[in-house]
Amino acid sequence: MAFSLDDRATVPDGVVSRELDGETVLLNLETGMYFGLDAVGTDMWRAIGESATLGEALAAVRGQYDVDEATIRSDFLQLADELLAKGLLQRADQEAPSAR
Amino acid sequence: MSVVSGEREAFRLTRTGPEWRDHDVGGLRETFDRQHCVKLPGFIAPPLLRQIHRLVASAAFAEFVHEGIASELQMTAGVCTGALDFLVNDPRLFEFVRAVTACAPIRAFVGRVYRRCPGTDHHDSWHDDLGRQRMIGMSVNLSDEPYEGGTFEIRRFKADTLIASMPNVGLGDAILFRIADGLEHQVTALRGAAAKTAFAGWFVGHRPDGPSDGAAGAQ
Repeated sequence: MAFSLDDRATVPDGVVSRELDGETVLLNLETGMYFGLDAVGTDMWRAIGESATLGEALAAVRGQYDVDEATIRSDFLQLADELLAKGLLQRADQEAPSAR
Repeated sequence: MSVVSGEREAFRLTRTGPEWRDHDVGGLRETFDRQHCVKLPGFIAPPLLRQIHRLVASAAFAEFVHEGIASELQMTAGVCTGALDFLVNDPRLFEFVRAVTACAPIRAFVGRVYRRCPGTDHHDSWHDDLGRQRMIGMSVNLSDEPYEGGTFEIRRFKADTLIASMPNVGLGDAILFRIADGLEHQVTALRGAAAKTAFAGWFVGHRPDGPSDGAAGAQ
């Protein structure tokens, strides 16, 4: 199921990230798959990690770019859903209790 | 000779990158200057260590002989080796290592995961690791349980006395050591029943030829 802006997303324990020169590489330790984020994706990723909900994260990113709301909302949710599909994000209620 | 243990945690490799306190670097550098090696307890932060340890447990190993120096089991390339390479080939880690060791600019870390089992012919011997622009060695303990023996030692070439003897039995702890003309090092024989597993290699001043780039002999 796709994310909504009311959802709270977290990074699974098995995901590691490295930011370099404004871009980010994510590695899913469960699958061994890498995923690269450009500068905009990196801003979105950072905002998701720092926000209570995806709606808050979108608001934070929107303030950084001179783009119409529909476009950035669409891009943001598309990225969040892609990260969810690749196991690089999860809904907060899916966090694995054993990993805490 | 100094026996090092229990230095407080000054550095952590986390899921999002290295973290350290600048005010701890001076002490680490002083130790490294004095004995050409320094221990970094808790090098891998616990949440990341749990993930790495899980990958180590499911990885495959194969016998490997580094002619004239060592024999051991070596982890075959896979998710675990890729993850470790990804985690340590980090410019911020290179910055920290340079701050502690004052080495020349680092371009990469080249390493492999090895396992030595007591009661087998797995062994190590004195060697210097010189060449291929290796500057600083690093060994991170990934063993399931505390092992006996398997202590890192460093000395002047063929000297009767050691500069330092450094046990490294805490899971996720690391040792940094200098690679330089006139220095050599070894890991002592294992005793007891527990195997030693470590991620070991070198910070080098060149882009490596491949993932392991001659890493077989690293401690």
